Amino acid sequence: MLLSAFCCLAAMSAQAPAASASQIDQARIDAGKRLFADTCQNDHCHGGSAMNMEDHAGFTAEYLRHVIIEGVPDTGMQAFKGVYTPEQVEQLVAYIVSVSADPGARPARTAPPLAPAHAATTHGELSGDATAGWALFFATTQARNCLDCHIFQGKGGTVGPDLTNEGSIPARELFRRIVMREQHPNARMPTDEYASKYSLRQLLDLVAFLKSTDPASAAGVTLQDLF
Amino acid sequence: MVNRMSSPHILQVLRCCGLALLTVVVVWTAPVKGQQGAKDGEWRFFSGDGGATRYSPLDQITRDNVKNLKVAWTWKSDNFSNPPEIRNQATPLMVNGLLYFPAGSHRAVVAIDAGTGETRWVWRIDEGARWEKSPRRNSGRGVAYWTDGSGDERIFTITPGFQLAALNAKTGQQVPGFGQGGIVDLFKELGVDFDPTGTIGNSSPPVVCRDVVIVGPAQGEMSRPKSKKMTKADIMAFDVRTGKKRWVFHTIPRPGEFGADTWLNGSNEYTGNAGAWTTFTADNELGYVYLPVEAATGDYYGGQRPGANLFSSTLVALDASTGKRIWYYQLIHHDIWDYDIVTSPVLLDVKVDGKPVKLVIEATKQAFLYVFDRVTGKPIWPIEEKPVPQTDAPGEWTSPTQPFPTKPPAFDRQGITTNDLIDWTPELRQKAIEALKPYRIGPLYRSGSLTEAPDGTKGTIVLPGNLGGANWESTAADPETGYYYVSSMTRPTRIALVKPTPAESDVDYIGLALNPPQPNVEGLPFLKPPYGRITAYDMNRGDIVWQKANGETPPAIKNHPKLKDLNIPKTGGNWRSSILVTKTMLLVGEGWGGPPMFRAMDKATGEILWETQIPAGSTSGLPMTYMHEGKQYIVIAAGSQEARIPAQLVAWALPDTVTRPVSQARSDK
Repeated sequence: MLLSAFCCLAAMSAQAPAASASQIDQARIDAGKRLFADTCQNDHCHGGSAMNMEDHAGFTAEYLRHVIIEGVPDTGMQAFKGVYTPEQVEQLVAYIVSVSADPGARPARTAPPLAPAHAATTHGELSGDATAGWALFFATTQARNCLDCHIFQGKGGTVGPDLTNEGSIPARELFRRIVMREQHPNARMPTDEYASKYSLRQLLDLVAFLKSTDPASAAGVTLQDLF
Repeated sequence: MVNRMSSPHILQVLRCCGLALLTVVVVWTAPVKGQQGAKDGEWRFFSGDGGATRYSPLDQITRDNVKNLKVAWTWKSDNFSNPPEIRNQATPLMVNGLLYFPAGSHRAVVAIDAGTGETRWVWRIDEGARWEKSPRRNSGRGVAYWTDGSGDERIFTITPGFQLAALNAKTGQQVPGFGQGGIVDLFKELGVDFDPTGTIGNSSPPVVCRDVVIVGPAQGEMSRPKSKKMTKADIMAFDVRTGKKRWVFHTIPRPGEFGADTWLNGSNEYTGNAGAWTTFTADNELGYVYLPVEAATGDYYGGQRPGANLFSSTLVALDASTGKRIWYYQLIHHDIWDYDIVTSPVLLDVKVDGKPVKLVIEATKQAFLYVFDRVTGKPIWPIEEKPVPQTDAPGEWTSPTQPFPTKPPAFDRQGITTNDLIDWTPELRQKAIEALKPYRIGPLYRSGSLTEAPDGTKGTIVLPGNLGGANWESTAADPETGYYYVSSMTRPTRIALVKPTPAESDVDYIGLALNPPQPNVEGLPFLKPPYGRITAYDMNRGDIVWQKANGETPPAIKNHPKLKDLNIPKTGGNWRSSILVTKTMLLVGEGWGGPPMFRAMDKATGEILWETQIPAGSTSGLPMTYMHEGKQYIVIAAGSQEARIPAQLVAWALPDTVTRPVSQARSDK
């Protein structure tokens, strides 16, 4: 149970000097638990109208950190940059990961593992940012987003195919399907053929996101993979 | 609704209970004419009766045999949505041997057998983007029931996508003659010239009064509104038979309407919200509906809507047949604390100074009880306008005064001074004082302030905060004794304002977050306990009879190294209990966020008579009771976030081997 929703955070400094690494981890998890109960759990957010805790299962620390700091565009999840201290972000991440570690009776839900954000690879190529692609996929600011027509992890429209597990499709093929009208002669897919909606970098991010659902594609997607 | 105990029912009681009870019954019924509570062993309203007493006269379960209660059945919602919903806030209805309640995040309506928990029918529709973008994407709190008394029985529900559906209570089929095939599209009924998708919904059941079904809209939370322009949450009423709109009440008056002058600079034209998101009540006999109206757009900042802002944060009584305003009382002028009005207005008949009076009681987040004559709207005890602190947030407008009830006393801590800070040890107290130094504190109605204020402070910590005091799950009453019960938590909120970027909002200031982090003292709360409490009032006198901490001291406090040598009385925790009143006792769920405990308590003292741990987890809904085939059942929704146990209904009853008191037979149906 979440035993506490007190207006409090565990002070790390009290335990830190003589504590072992595992004690620090546990103190961080405990502090994150209290912080989560205090600031994240209410009728409008987690445990209320937004995701339940189990939705976090399988999310990586990197992904959670990104979502907490940057938020999720056009959802109730604001960017908490400047609201939480970096240590508080780490406390929240430690707690949520600790809850996610044991998926319990149901299988863990997958989440986009992160490729380095727009980082150059060792070969100097631009690589896709799966998190940025995830945000584009779900973006509700735009007149249309992918979710309007495609299901991802049980949510979304039924116009197009379910894209939850399409990560094994080669990056080049995914890219062609997004941008080329000839791939969908009779479908309603609004392709990006005339390059009006997405920048090349955004397309790379979208492909990286779709590929991230496939464990075998952990190496990420580079610009070269698209052509 | 005032459910008078009918003569045939009294005769039934007398037949079953024997002559010995005759005197008692006469004494009870003669002075208290308007006997209220759930009738005939059923539970036909969200809160038991139309007046939200959450009272049932059933008495098979007594203080002597309550220890023998066993789980009779559970009903599981695991497959009603993906992912499964953990927290179901519902109170089932029980009518004619069936329980009716919503389940899963698509808000399916389910009918199950009251004796076994077996599913009888399920109704569900796919709402696509309306659901996907809904501000209230959850199972909601319940459904409403109506019958013409001649076989037409209907269940009404409001979907997450804001549609009103009428279902045949026997079959779950949509009622063909109601709206379009059983459904009224509430988006269309709003009559707006824009697409309201994502801006409006509801999670409380509609309210039936006489022959109308009334919808009070809800919206997303507005600590950081994207715009000062927001959908207006008009209250709408529909004919129970046809679904035709009967009336609409503008909670934000349009230009020229009464109250429009409380919106300066024409701000009523663009401001939105002011819905009635919580559950509300109606007096079927008077034909009045009581609306607890929430705040207007901008939970923490209202510079764009100067003025008192009628009818936001106002208790409004309307004629249920016409929507005509009978009376109103604004409880918070220009609400910039997200206080709203949050509890069901409880309708209770008592004697004040020896005179019978029909009360409506409104418990609030700011821990006041506002008590009125529900016929006239006149306060029972004086409510005084008193000066309150004024804002220094740029462009903000604060009301010079706010209404303060002189009686009854508040049920939770209001405002913060150093006297309210922990004093378990001098060191901890000093640390609490230091921890609060970067923030403004003060009395009730001190307004929010800038995150980077000119005086160097980082926002105002207000108590109660918008998550504290009472809320939708808090209240119950005993029509026999005139007692009123309210659960609350002592939870402050830090209201810290920031200037948004143009992309974030067109409002001058928004909250730093809905609930920004607050200071603590080595992991301990800075405020003195208790952190959650249950308060019992005698409404005949307007006084507190007893007050108890809700639950034990949480381990984080009990096991704190700085407190290990101290004897700390029960502190309770930062969660709110839910309360059912029966003839014999209170039945109390400790509440969501707390330990998975369910208790029986003495009505007169709060003494714990029995408690049990619920295997499914914490209580998320509100307890209800009914009689079925000679057995009294108690049902509540529960679930566990950390153990990932999806929402369940848990039903308790006495095992067949336990001798049940003879009076149980009276409510068999």
